[in-house]
Amino acid sequence: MKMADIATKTPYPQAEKDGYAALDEALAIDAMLESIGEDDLRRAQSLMPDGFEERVLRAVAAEAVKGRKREGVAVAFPKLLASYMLVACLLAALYVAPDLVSLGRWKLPDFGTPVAARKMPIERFHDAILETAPRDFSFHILPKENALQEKKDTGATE
Amino acid sequence: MDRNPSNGVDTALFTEWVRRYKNYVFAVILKILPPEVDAEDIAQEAFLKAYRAREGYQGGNPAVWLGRIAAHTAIDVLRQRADQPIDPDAIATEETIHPPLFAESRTPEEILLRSERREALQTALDGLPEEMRRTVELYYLEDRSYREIAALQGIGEKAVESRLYRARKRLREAIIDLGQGPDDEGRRSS
Repeated sequence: MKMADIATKTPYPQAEKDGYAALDEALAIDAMLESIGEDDLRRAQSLMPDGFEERVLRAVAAEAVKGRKREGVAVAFPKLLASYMLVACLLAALYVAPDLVSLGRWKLPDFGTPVAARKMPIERFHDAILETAPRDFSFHILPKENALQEKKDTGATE
Repeated sequence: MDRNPSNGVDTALFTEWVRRYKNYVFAVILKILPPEVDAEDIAQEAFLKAYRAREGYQGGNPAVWLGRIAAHTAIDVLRQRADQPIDPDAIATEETIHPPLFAESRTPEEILLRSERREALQTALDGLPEEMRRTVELYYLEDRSYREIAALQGIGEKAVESRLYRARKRLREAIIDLGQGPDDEGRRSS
């Protein structure tokens, strides 16, 4: 059979391709691989374009990078999904049973804007937090000077 | 480093294989494809396919593994080209690898030859030892994977591959004895 026949005929018609055809093909490939000798290798070397090896290696390196990216996505996606699930569960818990979640039973005082809250005297801020906090909540953010003064006062009293 | 712990074929080792077996892979492709097809592109595609499939490498001679992938890649190209109109200028005269393999049964003579070939295959299969024949049937005729066959026959996946290789070798010898080898086909066609 001539080369042109190979180019125009398939091993077996696609519709009729079956296990026997696959086996026949495997036998033929084995025979062909074993038939490759020194002459074939020399011919391949002479016909191989310059820079073929470099091009293949570059393509393999690019494939390796793509593979790592795919692996990265495969690892990152479940993590992202897990964090979203956690947030969703917390929100669901707040909605379903707000009394069970401390945030749900603590209505923070209305300070107005964040700027207003920052400008508010620390004592008033402190009192406002304590007024609205649950009973078992302990809170202490007095500034250093006040704390020092308190300490001095205590010492003086003693 | 892209290391694959299951079989040790990492990118560094694969790079070494490209350097060492590029001539062999190129030779396989030249042996199958007609000269007007760009063998360089197909060889590169074959190496990339092999790289992507490196987890399936079961050990053994890497040249044979790469060569088989290259052969399948080239055969796929031939099949795609078979659907396209033929360029008369592209007709080559070089002898090819295995006539009956690529012969589609279009004429009554071809249908007869193929039928004879199939009968010879069946006879050769029947001559294999029971376990070996079953492995071949499971893989080629029932399209089972190495893993499934290994589980069914109580052997390792590597043993499945090795058994298939030995079986194919015996089948080829048996088919040649039955007068259905490539040389016989060539003689009949001429």
